[in-house]
Amino acid sequence: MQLRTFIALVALGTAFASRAEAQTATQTVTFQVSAINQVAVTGSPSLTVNTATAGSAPTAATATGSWAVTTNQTGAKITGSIASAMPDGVTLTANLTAPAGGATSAGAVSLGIVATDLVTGITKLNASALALTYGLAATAAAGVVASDTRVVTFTVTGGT
Amino acid sequence: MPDFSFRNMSHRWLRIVIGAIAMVAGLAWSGTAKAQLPLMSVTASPGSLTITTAVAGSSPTGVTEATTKYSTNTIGALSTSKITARLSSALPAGATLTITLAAQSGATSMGQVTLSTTAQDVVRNIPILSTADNLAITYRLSATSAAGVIASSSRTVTLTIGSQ
Repeated sequence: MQLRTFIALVALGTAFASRAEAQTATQTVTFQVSAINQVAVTGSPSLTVNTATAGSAPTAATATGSWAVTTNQTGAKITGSIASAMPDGVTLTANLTAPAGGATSAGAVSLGIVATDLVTGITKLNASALALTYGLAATAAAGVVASDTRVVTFTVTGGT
Repeated sequence: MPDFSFRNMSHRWLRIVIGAIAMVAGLAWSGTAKAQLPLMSVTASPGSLTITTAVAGSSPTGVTEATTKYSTNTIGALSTSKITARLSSALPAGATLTITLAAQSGATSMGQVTLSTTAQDVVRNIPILSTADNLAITYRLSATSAAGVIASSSRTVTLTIGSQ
């Protein structure tokens, strides 16, 4: 047998013995984070206007709840609206405390069927247990208003 | 007329035997050369990890991927072995990738380890003269709100088995 043939057979045997195992192994990990905007509120308050100082409009009532927000974008905002208008002379307001980090609260905002900004400039943060205060005010001309309900919708709109 | 004399038949069978010995020598040499080192392998790369939501008030919700496996072979290793893991490059600020390798019998998993460009132990005390197949690899991606939106990206995770 020639030497070349012998070497070739040895090499062939070596090749057959090759394995997929090695001292290192690699994996490719692919990842991403999507735009995230979430808002939540707690509480279902009840508001009753039941007194006044003589000579003044009925005394407004308040109720508290809380709200929470998460956004990973820049310049998100919270708006609020109600499904149907309040009776004449009756005003429902919402006041959301802004989370720390540069956001701005619009203070006590009258709620209507058109969404209105309540907090703006919310950037890349998550915050919970933020104060939410409802107010109910009525003029004397509003008269007696029977118990009624409105669903308040809070919406977070993402930024960039 | 073919020559089937005893002399020619012997030479032919001798060549066959030498060839077989050469093949076996190759197999043995290859096996011997590699058997001095611990070895490992992994299945295909994991599926994509994507964070898409959060509970309002909390950080974005992390995600987990646990479809891939690894195997080890320490037959012939001269001492206990360990596995380390490292990233090809760091993740964006606020994003964290962790890895957990299940340990074979007798070995110790280091649990959930945060990956970085520095190799870190993920399994220790892998005994010699052992093999183990299809052990679980679990990846978890988490991100803070401050991390922002992160476009699809990839990193190479390098697992290395060696003497402890």
